[in-house]
Amino acid sequence: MSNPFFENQQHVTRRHFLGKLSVGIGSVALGSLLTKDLFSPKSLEDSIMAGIPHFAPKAKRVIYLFQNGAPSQLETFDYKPLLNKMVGQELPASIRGDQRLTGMTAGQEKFPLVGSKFAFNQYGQNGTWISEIFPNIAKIADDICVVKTIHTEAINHDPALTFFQTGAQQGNRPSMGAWLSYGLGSENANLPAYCVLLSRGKGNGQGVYSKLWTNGFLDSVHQGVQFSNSDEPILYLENPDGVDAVTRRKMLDKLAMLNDENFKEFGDPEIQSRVQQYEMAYRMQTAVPEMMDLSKEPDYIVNMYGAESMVPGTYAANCLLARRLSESGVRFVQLYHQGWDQHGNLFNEMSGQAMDVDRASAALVQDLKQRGLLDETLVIWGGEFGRTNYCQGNFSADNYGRDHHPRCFSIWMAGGGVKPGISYGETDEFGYNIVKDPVHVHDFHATVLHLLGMDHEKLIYKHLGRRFRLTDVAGKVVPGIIA
Amino acid sequence: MQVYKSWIGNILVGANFLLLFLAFSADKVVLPTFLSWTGRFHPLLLHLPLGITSLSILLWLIKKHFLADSFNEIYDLTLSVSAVTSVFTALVGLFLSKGQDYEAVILRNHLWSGVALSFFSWFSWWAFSNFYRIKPYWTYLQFAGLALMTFVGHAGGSLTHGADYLNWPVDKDKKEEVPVPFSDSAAYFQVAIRPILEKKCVSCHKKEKAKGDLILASNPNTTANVWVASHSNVNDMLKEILFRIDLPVTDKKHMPPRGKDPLDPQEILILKNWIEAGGSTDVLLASITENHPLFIDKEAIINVTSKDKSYTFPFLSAKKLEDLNDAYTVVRQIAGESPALKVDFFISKSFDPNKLDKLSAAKEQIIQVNLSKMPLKDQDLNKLQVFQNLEKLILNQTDITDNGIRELQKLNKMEVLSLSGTQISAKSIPVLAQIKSLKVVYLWHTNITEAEYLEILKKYKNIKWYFGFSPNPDDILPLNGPILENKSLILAEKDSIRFKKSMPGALLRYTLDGKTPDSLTSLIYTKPLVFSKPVTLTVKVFKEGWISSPAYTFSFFKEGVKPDSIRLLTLPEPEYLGAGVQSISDNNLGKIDQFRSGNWLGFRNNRMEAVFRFKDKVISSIRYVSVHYGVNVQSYILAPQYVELWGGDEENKMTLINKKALPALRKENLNEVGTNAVILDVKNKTSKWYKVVVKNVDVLPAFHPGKGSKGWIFIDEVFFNK
Amino acid sequence: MLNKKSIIIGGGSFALLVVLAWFSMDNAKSPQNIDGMVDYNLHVRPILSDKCFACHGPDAKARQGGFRLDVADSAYARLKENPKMHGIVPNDRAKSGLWLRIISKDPELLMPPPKSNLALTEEEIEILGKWIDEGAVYKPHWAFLPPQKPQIPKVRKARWPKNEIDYFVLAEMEKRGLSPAEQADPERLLKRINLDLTGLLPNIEVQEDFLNNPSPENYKKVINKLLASPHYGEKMAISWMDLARYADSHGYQDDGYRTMWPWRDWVIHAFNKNYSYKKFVSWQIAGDYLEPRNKEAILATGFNRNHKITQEGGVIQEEYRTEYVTDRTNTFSKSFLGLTMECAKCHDHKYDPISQEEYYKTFAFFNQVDEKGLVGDISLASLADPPFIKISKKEVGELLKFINLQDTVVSVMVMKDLEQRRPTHILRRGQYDQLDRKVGYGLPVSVLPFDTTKYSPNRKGLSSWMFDDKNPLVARVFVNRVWENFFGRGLVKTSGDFGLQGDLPSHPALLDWLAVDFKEHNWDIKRLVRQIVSSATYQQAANVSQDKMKNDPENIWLSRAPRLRLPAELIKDLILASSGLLIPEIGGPSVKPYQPDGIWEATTSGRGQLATYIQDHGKSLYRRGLYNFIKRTAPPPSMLTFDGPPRDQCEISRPRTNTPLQALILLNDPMVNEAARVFAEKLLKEKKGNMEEMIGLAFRRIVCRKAKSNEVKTLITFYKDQYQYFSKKAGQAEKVLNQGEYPHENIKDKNEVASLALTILTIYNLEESISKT
Repeated sequence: MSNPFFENQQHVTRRHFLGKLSVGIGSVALGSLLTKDLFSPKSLEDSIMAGIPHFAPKAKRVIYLFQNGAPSQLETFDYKPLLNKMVGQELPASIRGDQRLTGMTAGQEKFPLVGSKFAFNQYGQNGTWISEIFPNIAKIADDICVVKTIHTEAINHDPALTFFQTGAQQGNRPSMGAWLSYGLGSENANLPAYCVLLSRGKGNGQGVYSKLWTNGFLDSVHQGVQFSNSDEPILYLENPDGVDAVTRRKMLDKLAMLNDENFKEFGDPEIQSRVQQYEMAYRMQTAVPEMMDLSKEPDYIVNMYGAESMVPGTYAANCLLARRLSESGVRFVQLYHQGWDQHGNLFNEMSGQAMDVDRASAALVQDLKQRGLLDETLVIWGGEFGRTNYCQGNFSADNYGRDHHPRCFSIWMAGGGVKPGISYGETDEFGYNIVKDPVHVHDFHATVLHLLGMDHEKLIYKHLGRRFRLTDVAGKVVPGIIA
Repeated sequence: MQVYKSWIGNILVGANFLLLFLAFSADKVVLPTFLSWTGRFHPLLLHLPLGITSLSILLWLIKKHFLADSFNEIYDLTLSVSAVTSVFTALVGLFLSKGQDYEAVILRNHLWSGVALSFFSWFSWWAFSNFYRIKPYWTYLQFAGLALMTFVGHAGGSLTHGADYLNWPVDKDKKEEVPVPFSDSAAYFQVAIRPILEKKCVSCHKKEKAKGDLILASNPNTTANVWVASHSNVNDMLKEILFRIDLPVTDKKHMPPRGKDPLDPQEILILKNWIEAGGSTDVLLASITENHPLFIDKEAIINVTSKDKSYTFPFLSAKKLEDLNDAYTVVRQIAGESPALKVDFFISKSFDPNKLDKLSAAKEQIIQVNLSKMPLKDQDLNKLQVFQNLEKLILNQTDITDNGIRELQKLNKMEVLSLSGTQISAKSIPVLAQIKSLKVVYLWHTNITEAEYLEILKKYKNIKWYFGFSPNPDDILPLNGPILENKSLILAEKDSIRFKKSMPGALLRYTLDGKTPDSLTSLIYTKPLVFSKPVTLTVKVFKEGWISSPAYTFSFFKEGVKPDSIRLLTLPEPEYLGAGVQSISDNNLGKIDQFRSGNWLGFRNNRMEAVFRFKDKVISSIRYVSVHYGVNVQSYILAPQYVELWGGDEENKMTLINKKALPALRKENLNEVGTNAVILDVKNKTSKWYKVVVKNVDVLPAFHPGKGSKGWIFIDEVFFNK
Repeated sequence: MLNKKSIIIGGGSFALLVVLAWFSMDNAKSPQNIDGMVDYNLHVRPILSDKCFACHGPDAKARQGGFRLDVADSAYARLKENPKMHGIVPNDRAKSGLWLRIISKDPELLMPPPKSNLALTEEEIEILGKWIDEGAVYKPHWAFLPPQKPQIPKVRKARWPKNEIDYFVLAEMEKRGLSPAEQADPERLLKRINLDLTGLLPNIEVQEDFLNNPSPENYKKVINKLLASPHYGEKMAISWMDLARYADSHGYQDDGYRTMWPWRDWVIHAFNKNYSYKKFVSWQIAGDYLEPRNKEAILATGFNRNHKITQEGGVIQEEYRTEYVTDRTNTFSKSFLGLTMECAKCHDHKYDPISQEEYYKTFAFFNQVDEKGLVGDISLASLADPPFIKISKKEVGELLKFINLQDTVVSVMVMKDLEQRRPTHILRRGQYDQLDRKVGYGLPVSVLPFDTTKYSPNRKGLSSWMFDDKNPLVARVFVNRVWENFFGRGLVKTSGDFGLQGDLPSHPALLDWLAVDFKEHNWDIKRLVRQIVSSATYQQAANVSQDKMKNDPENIWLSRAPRLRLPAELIKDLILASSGLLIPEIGGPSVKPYQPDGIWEATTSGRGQLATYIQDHGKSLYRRGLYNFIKRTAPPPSMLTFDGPPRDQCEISRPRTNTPLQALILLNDPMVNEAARVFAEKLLKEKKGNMEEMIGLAFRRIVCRKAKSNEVKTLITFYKDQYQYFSKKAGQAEKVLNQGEYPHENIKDKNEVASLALTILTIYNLEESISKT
């Protein structure tokens, strides 16, 4: 079968191989004698080191718009009119089942249901439900795939966040981006393969931390590089005052001379590679300003992303920066936007948060598309878990809050081989449990790796005697969201 | 002559006996790894007896063209060689058979027929020169041999390629090359399902094996009786399959079992959807329309299959590939399995069009080129023509124009072309439209006008033109506030106040009187501002076509004169001790949301009373004192009731210099959060000692949630300014 | 039909063939490159463990086909799936199921199964075959047998060895036809030993002194001086802090300030006072039991409270308390036993003979702490969650002199067990709320049974178990780690894993000799260190010839000294010290030097004391690297970039990478540029000689050797270029000099200073400067 739709890299066992071959069996048999490992599976580590995908990838790069603090699915993408009908009524025990509660609502006697204060409408050819707080995301409904049935185990921010980014709630495992950098290497050696951009909204914040972009036990070249919220995003990239490119160049040349001198004496290859690193650093100093340069963009790029995109450190600015990094071959751009933790005052805070992200998120997808890059760039938007369908604390019709809810929540993806314009999975009418097509965090990871041409069971690293994977020992690719 | 004959004779005796011996004791004898290794020669050797025996037959048929003697010699030789090769082929074949799980029956047939063949050819050699009475029947004998050989060969073929290997007329390999065509009369099953079954299931579920009594093999030209299964009811069986392929791989029941070629996600999806849709084997493609459950799958399969992406061109050698790469040019395989290459260029400064010529070393393999932002000129475009397999070309923000476009026409495999941010105009469209293979073209931010867009969309429907975002004049957006560059609101001697514009071409207007700046009269910020006194700026950003930003207010303070010593006469609340008394004169302001940051002193049960002593040489310079405080009404933190300034030359002889009372909290300020300052003039009195008294609100008003209780005050700095 | 002759010949050749066949069988058996018997521990187990044990090992739940391969009996037994067969039939590979499965051509039968992504090499297959032929003898894992003191091996080049170590090393070299490198030149040797023992560079005087008299006696003197230096403790503390996951913040999302630094001061003190390893460790494990009245001993138990503690409101108490106990258990096993016990948290260990039950028996020791999962969320965060001790100025004055206390009082978290013992359960899948049956106290039997009649059932008993003479691991693991600190590579490469998946010792005999000798001499750490640095092995030159590079790129056989890039902390020390900026003060609260803006601000939730980075000033800017403030959720970027761990969890050894970001830091970090500037100003102030001599002097202070003439030439040309350049561009020099808060020397010719500063910056960036050569 040479039908690429079914193509998937497999180890070619002898018999398959012989079966496929059209030339004389004899010559193959002979071949197998001459080149011993022609048929023996090539070592996994080798194929990884080569920095090329296992099989033809749909996506080449990822931009992950992480909504830190966990935006409520019930006010965004998971439309549950029943909750508005049943406002104030108690959550049926049958629905809640044995779900454990956070320390914040564990003490609560009543669990009054509360519906979304935001109106929902259907958009796009397949009538995707999107709430009114995302007018611009609604406009790209036909480009995005809303997954309503993501679920996790963690019910607190730190473990949930860590789980989403590293595949484990505790410990110092490598993050998604690190795994990709390790598996695929960097497209553009003149920039870090894995960049991290941070911003904060006005809503109730939950911090982020370097463990979320750690290289774990992988080589620290795979570590996410945290950008600073200034005009000079990469730390230490700027030459100090008064040292211009000319001086720097001269200095590097002298350095190279002296180091070579030393290499002649010691013969240690580390010396040469140090020289190369300095050259790469120098190239980075030229690559970044060019990447940051907006002069070739039309002014109305600002209208697209919103005025905030001109203010370093805002979500909008980071989206614009993310597009430029990705365009320049950065493998994994990770954004975090804080402020989605609405235990109370949900209505006001979510409106504010939505203002921050709506226009810029949509602009990013559209901008990639109009450059012919969306099909090879995977954009992911979502938080670490969902929110409860009942109110936290004192319930009042116009001001309510929601606690953490791990059993179901919504994220969306776009581009990079994701099926556009669909909603995947269904939750029950209470928006509490999944009734169709659950997607566990491990499955999500497996799928993302698959889109990037990686078999999540083969992207492994041996550490302290054990072979580790991003998906640990679980995870199934979700075919339903792959185009 | 005789010598070699006798030797061959002896070898044949030995070998054939060994063959016989091994054939009988096949399961008892254990072969040395070395021998089973020689087994690999079997597929190679077997061609020799095949050929030579046929040759001998040929010779026999045309023997009249030879001189009798010479014929006998040649013929005898061929026979002997065929005998020898046969026996050794059989031997190694026997070695090979060890440790493989071939179908027992076929194997047995192959083995024994092979042995037979070996003995046969041995016999015929011997017979030819010693057994004259058989001559008349020789021809028949030879053809019997041929038949035998065919049988052996067939059995052998079936072993390695499955029983139907030599079936007539449809043969599996051929079918693999040409998948069933997507004629509407074709059954969905034939197109989508059976290929999967045959690829992933049949190897175990065929007549010869029928694991779990399930047989998925099928008669190629009928869709009928695909299944022969223990399950009386096909639907049950389908459910079972559905259930098993869906299990986690680790599960014992999972199909295909661990170690076997697993189903990949698309295959699973296709099988599931099909079974869920009823699992019929004879739904025709024609009948799968818009709202048929299998519609999406059908579409997907057809459009992927119709453009087969398995490339036939060879891999580029690793060495060559490496040579093509440098720090600014990245040439990569698109996947480990594929010879196709993708090229990216980075850093326009270092771009050199001749690099494209260098790439022609991989002109076959390159299917994607990305030249975004490179200073690529029209005259360079012809360099791209060598890449005949190019499918995707990205030329965003390059310098190309309409004049160059024609050069792209020869790229007749190109499907995706992106020209966003170039000088391309509508002129180029007809040219592009002639590239038959072209599917999508991206034309955002080019010289094509709105009107032309619509024109193009109407005119050239076979290509998807994408024009992307264009600003909507009616949607007017709010501007951002100004960006203050100063790190602190406290200004040292010569410090200036610096703002950064958050928007190109925006105007930054400010007032000093607290009024909201307007777009006409208010001062315009052009260069850093310097003030000698504390100052409060109200700033607003304006730009044509934008909603002006909200007004922002910044209160700046001048760095205070450092007191020689400070002492608190009253204690703050224990949890808000700041970093000790120093924190109110360290020229560091606190953040309003961080009352524990160590900058703030918090008082509730006491009012604040602090005593400051100054060195003689500075006292004359002190003109006024400003007390900086924080407000967060919701959390009971209010502005002070009043502030007193005492002074004198001895600590215990201070007199009240100045006092300021602040207005009581008003209802509309219930949500107020922020910082502010009270400024007290020293009224030209010089003193060594100062005492600052700040009084908190005793009773919160009725409209405050904490009505009746005491209010807090938070002080982060007391300045003594010149 | 057949005449006699041909029958005889035929029969003969037949026999011949048969004989041939059997003969060929024999030489097929002997693998190409294993001479003599294959050894289970050396050759076989690494293969089985890596490729087979995951499914046929200790973990009962994961076991496939009921076949267990890590213990003889079950490996020899009949196969559950096929009772006619035996897994292994000693001396008969042909009858052994194992053999037939690993040579099978059929992907369905083949082991390991292709889907597992594992495959045996031809050689590995042959080793297993040979092992079976030789009787398939199982041996206990080498690391679980108590070390015996081996004989000092004989060597040919008998003049070379300086002490016992060298005999073992040389013996291995000679086996492989390698010969040791010559003695390193005095300057480089001096730099090396200074860095290794104190982490600081020798100043000019010391260099002069040693250069004039590089005699062995003088070398001994140098060693003694360095071992006596208070900076020795600082150097040793660095790797101990990695292992003890020391940090200045609590570590989870809301990342509050904690004061564990007095514990760090104690570690430095303990190394300087040369506490025996036994005292050093047993105090950290059980000081509260051993000397309940001695505050110092109790302070030491802070080791087990260095783990992360959450301050996130609304977490489930038990979930996190369990997490803390887990962290202690894992840290304990990794750092003292060199075992990856954490693998046995959710299921029996897949490779090592450690059952889940044994894991929780060990867990029980650390499960008794009188603690809570969450004491208070960030808004009421404390600097030390209970149990803790308060240390007052008074106590510091009397007993705890080594604590660099600046405030009046400081509280430090320590260990304190509940009066009422907490029952410990096995946790199904390691889930805090999945209680399985109760377990008592214990430790992995395969290492050394925890004899309850001998040891008390608490951490005290635990520490006596560790230092029981029969304990096979504790001594080995530590000497190996010390060795790694000097040679960059442990005798056991995987210094954190002495289990079945770990590497085998390159010099088993040497490892055991060192371990036993260490024990015999009362766990004396300084003695061990002295032994190592006195060895000829240590004193070799680092130059490497082409063929040595080819034959032994990793320098496993130690036929040369390693060349290693310095760890993050020492790079800072080197730059500050050489420029004369370093404040050598020891201990005290961690410091916040220059750091790019926004690192903390961007990550924080906005709550808590550490929401904003308030940079220190004055002398705090110039303290040694190990005192840099480590906020776990946003560690100092310069440290991370140079492979410093984030201190999230126990780290045994650091990787050594080489990246462009490192180059950027060394070129642009204000700390480095300030040092260069100050250094330049000082030199021009002192004005010792002409520019060339000044550059030479700078070079010597940084690189610790006299610069070669052409090195000076290169630098001086650069200097001159720059000088001209600055003279042309007015004001440029001032900009260059505007670096750091350290007060300026008043020197007229700014161009001179700037050019010299940049020249010095160049020297700082030399590969040799930041390497141990």
